[in-house]
Amino acid sequence: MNRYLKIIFVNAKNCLIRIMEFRSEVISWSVFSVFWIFVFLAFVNVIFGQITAISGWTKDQVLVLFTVQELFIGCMWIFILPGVLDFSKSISKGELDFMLLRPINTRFLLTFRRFEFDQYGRIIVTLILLKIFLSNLNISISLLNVVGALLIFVLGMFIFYSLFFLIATLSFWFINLFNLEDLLDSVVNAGRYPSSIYKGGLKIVFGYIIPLAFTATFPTQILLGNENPGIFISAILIAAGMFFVSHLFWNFALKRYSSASS
Amino acid sequence: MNKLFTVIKMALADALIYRVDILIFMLSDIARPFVFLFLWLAAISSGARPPLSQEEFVQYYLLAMIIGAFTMVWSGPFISSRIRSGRISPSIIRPFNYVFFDLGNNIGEKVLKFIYLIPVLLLLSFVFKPKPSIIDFQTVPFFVVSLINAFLINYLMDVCLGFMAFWTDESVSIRDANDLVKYVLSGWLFPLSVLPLIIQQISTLLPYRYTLSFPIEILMGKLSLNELIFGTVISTFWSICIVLITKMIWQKGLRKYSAAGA
Repeated sequence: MNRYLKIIFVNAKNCLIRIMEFRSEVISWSVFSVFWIFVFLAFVNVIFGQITAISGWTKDQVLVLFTVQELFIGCMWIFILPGVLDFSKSISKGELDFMLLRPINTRFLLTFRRFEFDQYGRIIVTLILLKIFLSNLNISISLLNVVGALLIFVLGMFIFYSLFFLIATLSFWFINLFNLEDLLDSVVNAGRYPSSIYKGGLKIVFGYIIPLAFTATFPTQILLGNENPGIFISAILIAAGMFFVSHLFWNFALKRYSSASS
Repeated sequence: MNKLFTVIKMALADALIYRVDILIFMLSDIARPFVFLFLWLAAISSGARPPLSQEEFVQYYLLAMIIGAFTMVWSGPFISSRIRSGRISPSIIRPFNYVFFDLGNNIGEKVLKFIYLIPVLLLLSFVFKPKPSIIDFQTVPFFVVSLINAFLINYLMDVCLGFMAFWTDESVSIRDANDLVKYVLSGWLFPLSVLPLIIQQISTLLPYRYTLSFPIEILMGKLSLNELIFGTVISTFWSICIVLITKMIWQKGLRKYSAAGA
């Protein structure tokens, strides 16, 4: 176990050092994502022009939810997505064989291979915005709420990691699945707003198949004091279920893997 | 012309090989209007009274998906990487030689994307019942001209941004800034009529409105004859401008390119 932890730390350190070398790029990218965030915030203002609440969410609550989603996206792009995207590309490049030969669990290697810390500027700004919007709400937030929200947040990251890993495993068959990034973008776009806006059949898709609510809606609800123990239970169940399914599929795919050389 | 048809056929054949990827691209292309449609529907059912009715919002976003599918472009980053890697050297003889090739690729892929899009649109129309778009016979030429201009402006703007690679090396580029402005002012995110008046006035003079919103407005039948003529004049003006600018940038860029090596 210690060995695995050490590997994570070494990888992280390397990525961090690499980012520091391109400092101006990091800064300009952070500044730019701030602009995008502000545009969306302006749009939220336009929507709330005449009403006080959408599907039960007031404007200040929506702003908090929006920043929580931004946080989620940022964390996914730092910790999880680079590894998963590299995984799907490495199959078509034939690098997977080298991964399989190494003496550690391949899935672990693929997942934690790369972190991209250049989003950290965005995270810092998002956290600042979150603090501002939370204080607008004039409610007291207990430590328990924060911990609960963090827990669901991390579970949400785990759920989506499993989901995207599952999709990336399809690269064993559809060798040319190179546009996962666009799919990711659309999914996270959908999660920026309270999940209650999706009605009808879409509720099933966004509720159970691509459980958007765990990215921002649930963490925000818990943070704002709207606790519902059911959320924790379903989060753990879905996280475990997703991981299990993605691992089954991964093993299945490996067995049938016809590599570039053999 | 024959050459263009051949390139389009090749691109379509290519697209059919990557058919799952194209499907994912199509879905992520329509993701933004899709999400915003739900957002506005939720706002209206929570009591908002925006300048567009519910049916008109559905109509707007469905039209945005269609017109967007017509005018979408993606060759820019490829042009940039070709310039940086030196691979455009064979095509330097005539600039509109390989711009032609990208054009063929653009149209070819769109054929497949449209095939995928039609069932989605039918389903959405069936579920959400948009206001039907019926226009008079005399508006049709205005619409056709606006659509051609929309594609031309969008395409050449993308090409020009691609040509920026002759001068700069950044990753967070003018392209991203342009995308930000484009998404707002073209009406891709929100219909222009719900944005503040000053934004609407600015957008009437800039080219972005004519890449998406203007054709949609024509189809929605909300423009008076004066507005139709005015809009057509401005959109044609920008078309001509962008053609001239593209030629100029190409020649200047070429000079810089040959100065560097050959």
